[in-house]
Amino acid sequence: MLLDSAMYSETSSSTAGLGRQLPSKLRDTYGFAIRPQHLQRYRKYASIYKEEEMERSERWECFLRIYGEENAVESSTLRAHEEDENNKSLRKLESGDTLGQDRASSFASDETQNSAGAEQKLSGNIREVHCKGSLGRDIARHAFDEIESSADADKQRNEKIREVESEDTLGQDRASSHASDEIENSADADKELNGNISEVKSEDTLGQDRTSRYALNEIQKSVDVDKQPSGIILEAQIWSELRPSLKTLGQKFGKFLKRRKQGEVVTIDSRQDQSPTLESNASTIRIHTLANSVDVQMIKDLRLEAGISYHDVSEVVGDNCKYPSRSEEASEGADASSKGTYSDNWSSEGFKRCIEKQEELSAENEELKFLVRGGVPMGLRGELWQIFVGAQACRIEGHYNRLLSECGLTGSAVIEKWTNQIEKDLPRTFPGHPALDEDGRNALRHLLSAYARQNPDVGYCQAMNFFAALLLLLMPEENAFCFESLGCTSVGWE
Amino acid sequence: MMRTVPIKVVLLGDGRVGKTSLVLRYVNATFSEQQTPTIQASYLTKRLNFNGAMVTLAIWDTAGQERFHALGPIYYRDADAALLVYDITDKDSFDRVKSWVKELRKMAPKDIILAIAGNKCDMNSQVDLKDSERYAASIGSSHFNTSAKSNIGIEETFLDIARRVLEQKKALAENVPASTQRKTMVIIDEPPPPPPPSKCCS
Repeated sequence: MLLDSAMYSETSSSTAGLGRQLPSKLRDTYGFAIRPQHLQRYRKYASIYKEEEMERSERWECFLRIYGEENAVESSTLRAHEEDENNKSLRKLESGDTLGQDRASSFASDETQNSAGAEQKLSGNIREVHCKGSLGRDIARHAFDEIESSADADKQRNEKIREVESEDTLGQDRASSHASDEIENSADADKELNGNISEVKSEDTLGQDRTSRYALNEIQKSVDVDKQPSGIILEAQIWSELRPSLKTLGQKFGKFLKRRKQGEVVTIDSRQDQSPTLESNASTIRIHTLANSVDVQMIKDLRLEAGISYHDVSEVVGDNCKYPSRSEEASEGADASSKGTYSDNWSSEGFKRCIEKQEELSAENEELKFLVRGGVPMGLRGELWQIFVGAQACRIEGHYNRLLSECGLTGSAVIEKWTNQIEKDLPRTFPGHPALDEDGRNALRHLLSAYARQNPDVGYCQAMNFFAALLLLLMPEENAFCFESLGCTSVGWE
Repeated sequence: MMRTVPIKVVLLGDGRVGKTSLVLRYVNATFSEQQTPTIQASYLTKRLNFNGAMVTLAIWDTAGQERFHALGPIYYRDADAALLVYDITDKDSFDRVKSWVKELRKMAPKDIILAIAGNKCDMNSQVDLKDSERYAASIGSSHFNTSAKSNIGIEETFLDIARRVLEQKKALAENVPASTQRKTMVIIDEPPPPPPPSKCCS
């Protein structure tokens, strides 16, 4: 009887919105309700799908293991350097007298204790630390990240949050003013730390408990290719780093995307000279947004910001084939003005090495292509999407939180227009989906309003909610934001 | 075999007033508390036997968001009737109906049949129903209180639309010769080139 009526609705209409509430057991792997007319087909193919998924997972696991091994080989040579750098940073940070710096140094010392145990997991970050080592702030940031990803991260983070809470009893405003104070106090070393402070704050206020939204991650864990406690990373966060085994892949794609935008990167360098902090770039964007004069300049600014982050990636990777003299530059101490002269350093020798490496990589690329065409296992999907779009590379620390706080603070007419619409559509997005409970809807609200804020030209459009919700099923808020803003840019919706 | 009369009805109105729910209730006799937003538009048909005349209602259910407003003309162009839906719990949605009426008067076919439906009449009204009925009368439209959830007034609304469209068509058919009836498009092509002047036997 049920099936009969379903057949009727199928034949008599072509609308897509015939979602019908079903008991929770009739949901597919992604948590979507199965429509009665598809029930038979689902039952027929569910086991086949499961088998294929297993197969896919195995293939990817194999591929990533090889990748990870390469990564390990490279990083083991770097570990010695890392120890040095870590100590150096400790000294550097201890010399500071602000609270934030104290905090960071204690993290760093924790980190040195942890690093013995969690070597494999840290290897991705170690590379980063090595390449960016000359700047203490980066060490502090990575120490922070690593602590988050280490096994006892939860406990420590909670302590941290409490710490920050007690410091900033007046809330987020205090945190930001605190942040600006610290920028004044210590010229450049603190910027990242402040980002982290606000991150911890907002994690505390916005995303208290997302365990239910990451019910999917529970499934992920079972499919988890890495057999690592990645659930810890994904829990209760609005931003998550890639799992270590995917880091190399992510860096490679960051590199690739950066290469496409190389022209813009060079222009940034000149800009960086004028305004050395990301903070100032971001503030220009904010001005533009507030004035609602979204023009070419703003888009350009955004691209520039994105470009900066791409640039960081290339620094991180220390890509010898692309920039032959990059490592020397790094040892001299990162000099922003010298970055403009990449093309001069483009020696024929480096070019040859580049070609060689390309050939080496092409085999891997082919394999990757094959794997992607065969399908991405569900557990990896969110992260791989991010890699292919370059979302990880394009993250600007604190940018998302800033957008969110702006959404909360200002209430101009334009903003009202889309908040209304968003509120209307929130309960209508994948209704009944288990992941979209109170927390899930909040995350969706944040994501949509942040995107509308960043890109007021587009603002909010119906159907963006489905897109955003789908992303939220696979990744945390801020990752999804980077993905969305970037994905839309490269697709050319701007 | 009786000829079926196609009637194109377009649903217009603000977002989340229940356009899709109305149509689904009417066509499929279903109602979902958790209806997803319509993107662009959806299309459903319903066949009626109206006093012995076979009628096919082709119902275009449009998206309500302001952003999709510009797509309106695609759907109401050569529509026979427009059903303007508002939410009686939402005053703004009624203002939206008024703006739609203005636009239809300007852009749509002159003889388009208008009907206004105040949806969600199972809830407490925020809109003065007398007022809206007066407004409907002033623009020559009928007004219905409907509820997709409780299945109130929906049949009546669509039947009224069908009746009025049929009456209009009948009147039109009586007045106008069959060849220039609505729905039959006469394409006037370029006049055929004059036959070349005959060369021989001048």
